[in-house]
Amino acid sequence: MCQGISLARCEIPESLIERYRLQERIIRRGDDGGDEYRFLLAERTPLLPVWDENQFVMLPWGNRDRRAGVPVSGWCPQESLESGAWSHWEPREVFIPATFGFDRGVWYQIREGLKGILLADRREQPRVYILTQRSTHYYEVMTRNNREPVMVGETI
Amino acid sequence: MAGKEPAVKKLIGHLDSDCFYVSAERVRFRALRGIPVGVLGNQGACVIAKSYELKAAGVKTGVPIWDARRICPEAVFVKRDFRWYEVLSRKMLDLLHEVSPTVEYYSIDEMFFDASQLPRVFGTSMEAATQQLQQRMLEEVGVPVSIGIAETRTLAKLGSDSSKPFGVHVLHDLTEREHREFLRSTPVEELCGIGRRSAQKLADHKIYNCLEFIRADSTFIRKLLTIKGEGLWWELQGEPVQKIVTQRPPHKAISRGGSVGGKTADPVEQQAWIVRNVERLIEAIDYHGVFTRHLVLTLERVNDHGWAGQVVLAEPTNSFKMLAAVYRELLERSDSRRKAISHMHLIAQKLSYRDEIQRTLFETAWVASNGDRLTDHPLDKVADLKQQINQKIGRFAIRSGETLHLPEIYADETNDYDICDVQGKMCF
Repeated sequence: MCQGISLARCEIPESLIERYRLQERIIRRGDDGGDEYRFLLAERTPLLPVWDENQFVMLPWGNRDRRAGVPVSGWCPQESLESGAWSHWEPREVFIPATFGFDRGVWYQIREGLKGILLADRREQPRVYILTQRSTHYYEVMTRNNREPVMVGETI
Repeated sequence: MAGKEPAVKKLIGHLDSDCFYVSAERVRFRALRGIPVGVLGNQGACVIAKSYELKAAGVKTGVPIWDARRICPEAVFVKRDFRWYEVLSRKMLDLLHEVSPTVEYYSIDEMFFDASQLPRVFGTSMEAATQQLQQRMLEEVGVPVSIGIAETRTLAKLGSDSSKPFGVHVLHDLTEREHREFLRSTPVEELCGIGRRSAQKLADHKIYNCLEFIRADSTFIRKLLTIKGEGLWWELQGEPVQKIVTQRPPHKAISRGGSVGGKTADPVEQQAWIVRNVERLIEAIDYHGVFTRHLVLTLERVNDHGWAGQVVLAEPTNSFKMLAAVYRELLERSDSRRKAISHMHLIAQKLSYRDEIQRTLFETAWVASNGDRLTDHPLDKVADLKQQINQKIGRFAIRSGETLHLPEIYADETNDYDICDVQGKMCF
């Protein structure tokens, strides 16, 4: 499963950088590379950048709190979404822009972004989950993971 | 009366893209610029190309991704897209044709060309003209290249190699002393055609660099490394032996195949791979305007010996019906059903140009082991229609139903294309 993403600096409006204190997330992979903002699930307060109804926002990534009344996970398997198992929370599909994805130690390129779902927990706090599906052979060999994120406009 | 113009010295250029696959990805994805990037091969398991940043981190070509990510945790890995690489490669070729009358499409990222006219085309010195050509490549195609200019192919290639990345090396302008120094600093292994064994043979005679190589006697080099080695000897002296070849010499054999997406013991999937590769093989046969009469199948099996089988047909053909039947039969003969195979290669030999064939007046047939009798259908209307539609809409738009068992391969557009499907280049 995708355990992190990063987004090129130019993709994030300046106004959001201060509001969400994104400066702390800036990394640079090479001396001549561009700045990126990194978002990892393992962080203390995991966030994901999300385009929701033409608004660019930063939202909590998944849920770790069993009392929140929503699934304890960072991902939503597409099969279970389609089976109706998530209907209770009235999930809405959102777009998660990403430049690179991270899975089991491998950073890979993402052309546009990922599909996610947005739902509200017991306290009406919005939470975003990355949609996943069975990995292609290629993705599985590359990351040794049998689940991959659902990407927009491409399959790895 | 106008005086006779001085003869222009014949010079050869060698243009070599800098980390081509990575550069091609950077043309369309800016975020990859300046960072360590590895391009992964067909299965996503190995690094087949790397950026200079990844190379500097210690990752070599061919390294498995799990080693590469350990050596360089910040590296970004990209799936190969040979179709896109060919688009850019052809753009480079077109641009080169604008400034040179003679261009050799050596490989997807390397071209030799007649450089004699460059100063006239750009209206400046050879060095400045070569730099301008390099700049045009960068601006119009987006790919950084290194260029070597010299009297011979071998020297031109050494020139481009020695100027990487993004350099220009004009060797024919060097003084004799500079030239000697250049040869002294170039190990013989850098020569195209000197592999590990040849290098060892030379080392046994204390020949380690190109200067020592040309100081040896040419007949001695010929004895040691055959006529090809002697050719290199002359080329290093500035005497052209290898010409720029604008048309590929006729093939002796055409092969298609490769990995079967990991390994498979499923007979239906094995057959699907056979048919997919038959379709690719026929595409190549048609491109070259030939028929084949001798069909070979080789299989690599997991934890088992490899297998090879062949069939010689009475008549040369390009018929899908015939070729597919023969290869299905060969797969059957190999007794590979229920054995896991990892790679297969379909090789078409005894090739003849279509307009040079005298067809027999009598019907000939190939009889399969199950008694099926197949006659040749070179003008098979269905196959012809399939080819026309695929040429118009895209590869595999119409394909055999037997390949439906490989949904993942066909759902993934980058699997449409393999590096050997780039036609017209001289080498792999």
